[in-house]
Amino acid sequence: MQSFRYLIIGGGIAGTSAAETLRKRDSDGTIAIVTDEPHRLYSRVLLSKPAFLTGTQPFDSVWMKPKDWYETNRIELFSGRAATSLNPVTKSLSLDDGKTLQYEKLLIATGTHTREWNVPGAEKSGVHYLRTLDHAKAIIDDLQKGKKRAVMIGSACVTYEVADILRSRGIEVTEVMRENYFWEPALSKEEAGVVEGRLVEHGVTIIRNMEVREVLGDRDVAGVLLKNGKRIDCDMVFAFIGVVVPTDWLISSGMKLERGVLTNEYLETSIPDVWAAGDIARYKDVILDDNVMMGNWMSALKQGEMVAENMLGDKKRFELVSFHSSHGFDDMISFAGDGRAKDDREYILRGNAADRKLGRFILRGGRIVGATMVNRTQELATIVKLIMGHVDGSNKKTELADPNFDLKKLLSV
Amino acid sequence: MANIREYPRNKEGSNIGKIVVDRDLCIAAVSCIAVSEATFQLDDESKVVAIGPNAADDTTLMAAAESCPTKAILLFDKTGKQVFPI
Repeated sequence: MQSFRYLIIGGGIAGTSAAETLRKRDSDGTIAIVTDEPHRLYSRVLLSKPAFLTGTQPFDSVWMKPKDWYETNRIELFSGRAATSLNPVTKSLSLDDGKTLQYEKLLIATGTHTREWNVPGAEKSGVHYLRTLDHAKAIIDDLQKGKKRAVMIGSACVTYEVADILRSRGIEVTEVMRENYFWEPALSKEEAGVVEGRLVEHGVTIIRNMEVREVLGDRDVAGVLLKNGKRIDCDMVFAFIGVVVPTDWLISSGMKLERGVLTNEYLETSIPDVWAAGDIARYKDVILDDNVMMGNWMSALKQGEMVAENMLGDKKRFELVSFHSSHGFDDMISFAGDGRAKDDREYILRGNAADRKLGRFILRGGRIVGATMVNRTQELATIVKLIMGHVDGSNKKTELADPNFDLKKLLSV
Repeated sequence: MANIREYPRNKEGSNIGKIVVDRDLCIAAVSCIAVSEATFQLDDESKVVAIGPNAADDTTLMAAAESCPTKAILLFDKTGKQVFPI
């Protein structure tokens, strides 16, 4: 049985940045990464970007590490392998090829999995997801074949970015969403109005409160049948219906799970010598005073680096106000801090839809915990500081709502 | 024409003579800023600008460019040859 000082499950940015940090400080400890993908580390964020999907940027720009990086750094890579169970007593991990690996310190950084679309016909060629490099390759192939009509399911970042790419290539796009409006509930209806306005302006047809009943065609997609009986002809379907958090395989280990792997502020799980980082970790956020998951590149990278320090014996708290942006149709949509729509939140709109510069603050118990923005990125850095500084917005609502009020003035308070 | 900005670098002893940021590719993931705050910052459009092209040593600058998930930072040596990404 192979045994490693550091065993990492997940070969994405969280797991790989952890391995890199471990190797920097421990030159002879054995390190292995187990990944269910057949590839070395690549840039997941590049997959939905126009330059990459349309081929203007070289395909090889997707790789984040040279091919020989793992060997040079003596990091063993088990690719195309998934972990199936964890035994915390024997400190061992079972893989789907029957192999068992032992660890001294274990990191779970598997990220999330694609939510399978289970309508009849979803297995046809031309139905696309976009989470992995192989998904992106399939889309690139179809674009190169000159396919012309797309139906998109779902309404969030990836849908938005890919819709822009498809329209820029003259592909007909019909957006079918279960939601009442685009990006619900991550954006307010007012902000979404700006986004939808732009989509329509660029020729996207929007069908809301609707689902697909069946994907039509023989081997290849020929259309979709909606639940209202309407048929839309198309040769591509983009099923951007979200992700699932793969924790079922951890249930038998007794690990504390809560739609993710629950950790404290040190990213320690409930099992000794086992940590979690990246999209799978629901961690105690000491800035927000809440348990959160932050599924974005920067957060995963920083968590990977920091969790490695703790695996090496440090005791560092993870502290980061996370933010990310999505670009499309000349607009930039940004999200900062905790953007979850919850009952105890209060929302303050800022700006107006007419000039397409609209955002909102999200308050919890009066405190600013998050914000969303359409074309207000110049305020992003200040808003991050407001969240970091635990700024109370309860007696500043008029100012927060006034787009001409300089938010920096709240920093000194 | 790509929306690029060039930042000449004349740091003593450095092999890197120019930093280029492709603003179309930049998505403000800010991993470069995490590596070297002295070199990179976000501007009002949430795009990365090189505020201190001479601030970091070559190793740090290379690490910052390598950390970018969209490869928006390009580095050139003193002769004008691209050294990252290659």
